[in-house]
Amino acid sequence: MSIRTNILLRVYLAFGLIVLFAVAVMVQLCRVQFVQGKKWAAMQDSLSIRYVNVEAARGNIFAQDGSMLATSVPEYELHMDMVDGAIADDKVFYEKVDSLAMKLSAFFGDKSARDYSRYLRDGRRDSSRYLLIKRKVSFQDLKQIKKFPIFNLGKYGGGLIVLQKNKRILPYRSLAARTIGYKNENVKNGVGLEGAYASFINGESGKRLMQRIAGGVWKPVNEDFEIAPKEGADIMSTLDVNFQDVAQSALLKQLIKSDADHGAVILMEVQTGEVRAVANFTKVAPGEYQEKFNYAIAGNQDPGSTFKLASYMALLEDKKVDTSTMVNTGFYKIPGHMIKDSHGSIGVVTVKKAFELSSNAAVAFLVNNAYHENQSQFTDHLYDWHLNEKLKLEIPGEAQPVIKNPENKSWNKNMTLPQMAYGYEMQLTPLKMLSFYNAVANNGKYIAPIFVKEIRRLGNPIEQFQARVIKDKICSDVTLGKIKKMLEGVVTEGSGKHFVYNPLYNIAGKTGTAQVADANKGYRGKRQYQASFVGYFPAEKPKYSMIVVINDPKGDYYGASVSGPVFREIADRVYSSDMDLNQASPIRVANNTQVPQAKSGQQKALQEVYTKLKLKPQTVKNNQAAIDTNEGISAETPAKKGVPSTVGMGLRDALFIMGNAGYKTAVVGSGTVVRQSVGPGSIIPKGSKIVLELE
Amino acid sequence: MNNQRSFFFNVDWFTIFLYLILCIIGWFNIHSAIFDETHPSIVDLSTNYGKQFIYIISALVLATVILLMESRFFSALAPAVYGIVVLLLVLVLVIGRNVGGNQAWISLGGGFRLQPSEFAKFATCLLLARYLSGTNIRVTDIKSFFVAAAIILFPMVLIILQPDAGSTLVFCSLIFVLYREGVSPLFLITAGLVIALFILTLLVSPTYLIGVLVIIAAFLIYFFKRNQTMIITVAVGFVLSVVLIFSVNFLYHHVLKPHQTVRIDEWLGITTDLRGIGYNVNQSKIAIGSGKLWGKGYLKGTQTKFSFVPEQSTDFIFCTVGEEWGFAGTLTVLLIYLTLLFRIIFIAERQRSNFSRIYGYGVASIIFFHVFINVGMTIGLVPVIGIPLPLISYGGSSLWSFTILIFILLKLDANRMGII
Repeated sequence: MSIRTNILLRVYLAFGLIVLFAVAVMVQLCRVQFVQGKKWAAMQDSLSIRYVNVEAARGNIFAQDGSMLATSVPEYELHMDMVDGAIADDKVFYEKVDSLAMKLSAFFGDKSARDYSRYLRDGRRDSSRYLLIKRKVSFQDLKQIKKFPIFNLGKYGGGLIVLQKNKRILPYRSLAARTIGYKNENVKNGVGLEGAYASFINGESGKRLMQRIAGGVWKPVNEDFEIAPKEGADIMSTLDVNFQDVAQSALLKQLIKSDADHGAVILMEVQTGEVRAVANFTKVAPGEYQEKFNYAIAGNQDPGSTFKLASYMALLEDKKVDTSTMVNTGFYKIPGHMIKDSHGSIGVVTVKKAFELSSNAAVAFLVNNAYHENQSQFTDHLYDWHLNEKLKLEIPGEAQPVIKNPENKSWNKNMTLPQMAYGYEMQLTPLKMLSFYNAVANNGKYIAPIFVKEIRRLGNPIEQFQARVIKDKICSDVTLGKIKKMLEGVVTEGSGKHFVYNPLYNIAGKTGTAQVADANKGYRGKRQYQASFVGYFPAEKPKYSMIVVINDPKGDYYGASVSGPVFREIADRVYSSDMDLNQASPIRVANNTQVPQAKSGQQKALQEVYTKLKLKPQTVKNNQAAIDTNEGISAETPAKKGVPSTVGMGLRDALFIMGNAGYKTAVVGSGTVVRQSVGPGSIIPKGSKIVLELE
Repeated sequence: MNNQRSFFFNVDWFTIFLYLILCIIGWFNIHSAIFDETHPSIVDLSTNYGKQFIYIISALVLATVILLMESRFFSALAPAVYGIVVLLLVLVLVIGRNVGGNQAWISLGGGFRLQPSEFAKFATCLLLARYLSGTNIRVTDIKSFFVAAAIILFPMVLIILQPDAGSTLVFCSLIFVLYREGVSPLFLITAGLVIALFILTLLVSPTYLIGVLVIIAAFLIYFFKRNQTMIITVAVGFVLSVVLIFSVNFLYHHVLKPHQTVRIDEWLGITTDLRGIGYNVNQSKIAIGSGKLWGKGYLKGTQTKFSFVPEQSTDFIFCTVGEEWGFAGTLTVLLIYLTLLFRIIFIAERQRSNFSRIYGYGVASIIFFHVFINVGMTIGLVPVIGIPLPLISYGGSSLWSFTILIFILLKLDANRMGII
């Protein structure tokens, strides 16, 4: 090989190698750009820009008096881009990292400054673009954190990445918690009011064009939403915070006392069907109860003696008996079974007396005697009263009532009818039973209870609810009059006398002691009872109806002695605090010298504190949100609809009050409120912004 | 002197044209890659694209100065330049600024800094050319070969200490120069085989690999059964291959750094971690792949903005081209590079002096290596090695270094007739 060809060969080889590489690059380029082009383009779309659903702010749930039962507050999650432009320079970062660590440590107090410093430095070394700083940070805290060293640098806050999340809170915590319910991403179907009215509360999520930036964070491309989210509507529930509180504490007290398994209380306004309180407690440990299961609407059981109301109503309506008809008590023999009265025989008594003292034998005999030949005549009444139908509540989870009829396979010609007469062989929920009693109190107008009376968006009603009328008249006025007298007699002279009777006002109702089947052993196992009391008050002009059900009390298990006192306690408190019922004059005390000063606050709470401390509050005005101890005499009572006064309050209270009243707030300074931009009592549109100055 | 009529007499204007085109392409793509809405102007000096403009202007001044110099100086000054660069490389290890884990920069003040390893490239080329063009020096001699190898290896050692593996590897490309000057092709083949074996060992179980090698060796020995030398060569080659296979594991886990091995794993598809180590290449592929035929247009890239691709303006500038100018753009850029490379080899081959020719090959090798490694890594053809795309990537040191490389060759070429 000549030198010349050798060199030429080498040169060609060099050229060839370059060409080879160039071809390889070309081929790969074509692959990336054409063969896989779609894939990469798709990834780009999916990775860099997309429409992101922006969750609408959820609506609030209010109590009947306007107190906020459930609301959403923003909560922030803080991350940090450790290689953000503002701290790209090592000098800037390392100069300030320690002071940032100290600030964070002092602020959160969860880690030492050294730990924070090490954590931040590690993140910096790993060039972390999404280092978690803290979860669950409030807006107030966030405002301060943004002023920390490094975070106050550059236009993107020195790498601070703030994610907003909405957190649902119940300001009254466990109060009616089960009825308020919950709805979150972990449960498919929400529960309680939150679940039932989710479509209103949730609002409509909007759409926003978001750009993915470093670290998997999405940031908005434009200032505006493509589709603005529609804020969720507010739910005005029928619940009353004070009554709910009373109901819960009374029920809880009795549950603990009798070590019962669970219990429920429902308080309902007679004419409107509005449910004022629903309490449900389940034992989780000895002496410890939680709102876990909504027995009020889902606890289907044999009602027992409380059902005798329906039996006597049928008998009276069909004129099979009258209240003065004499009937034997003690026992009643049917083929294969002996029905006995738990308290023993009281001899031959009137129907009224038999009802008042709750004789099983009497009612079983009367019903069996009257309807044995035509058994469906009795069940037709029950079907006519729609006792076999659901109340069609908005709240999910209502149990299906079970009322048999002679066509059912399980119907026993000899046994079923007399057993049904005193409330067995059927399944009714406490709420179903209550609404039937409510019909009696409501002069025969049978309505379904409601939990929500209005839905509002930005303060304007968008939907209003009225109780559904199930039946205009369940029975004749004559029967009604007799039934009412019988119910009143239960409390004045009958089984309820010792525990429910209050000489100051009249309660009408019925006790119930039902033996309930054990879930595993049926009726054969250890005897379990359901003690109940259902009724209404004041008897002459019924305003409220209520049912108390307590399951598996230990020791004493009678409806009268276990549930009766709960009924009485709640009824007393409701009666005494209801202005329409109780015309007691407002308290006015004007002696103010030696009482410690208090910040403005909830009237009732303050009053209670003063009472506990055995101090006489100087000024208490009804319908007044605040007590002002500095002035001696309270400032002018703001009109109920106007802007409330928050002067003198701490920020937490002030925000709460303003929020409750439907105003947005901006805050300047810290300390207590010294000024508010819109004076108390001013009438301005809901949702307006009010600036609070704190010092 | 017969070439005193003009500074630019006999200068290869075609190369200068290609050079300028690449510089301008680079400048515009840097503008797009790190576009800052608050400083939209491409000549805004507070931005990096504004700075690149300064670098280009100063590079042109530098080019003019080189063209004004006496061409014989380059050969004469080669040892001195090499010495200065070596001094700087030592200095950078002592007083250098640490950026991104590499102690590769000497701060000059005013926000400007110098990367000595960039200048080591042309200094090494110069000295290598000077040495190999000496009388009685033949690279096929063992002694000459080792001296030449030492000239290349010395800066490599200093640079790997920074540690800057990418820049170090660039010097390997100078093997081509040695090859052009007469080193046995076996040398290249061996190098190729070593790399191939290395990669295969990572992908295939050693047992299979050795099995295949045994079969190949047996076949070769049978083929060369009458040629004892070849049999010995094959046998030695086989043993060395087996040793290599078993040392790969050690090399991989003890010599290479973790960030290097994960890059190789990612490239070979042994691991796939699109959010972590594979992020750059994946984002780069998205950028290039979404560009399609004509691209999204100047300043319209979405991957490019918002810093999706890290090192967008330096090592990954090619994906800006791909995204905004599409296949047409990348093809154009590659063709310009190919033309430049062929032109440089053509220029090298037309030199009368060995010094100029050898230097020319050095320039071609280095640019070649830079271009194809850089482009290759942005499209996943080679593992990620952080070296810039010549004349296009952001950075003053890199731009000046390539300017000096190219314009010294142009000066030598302009004066080729002056060499007797």
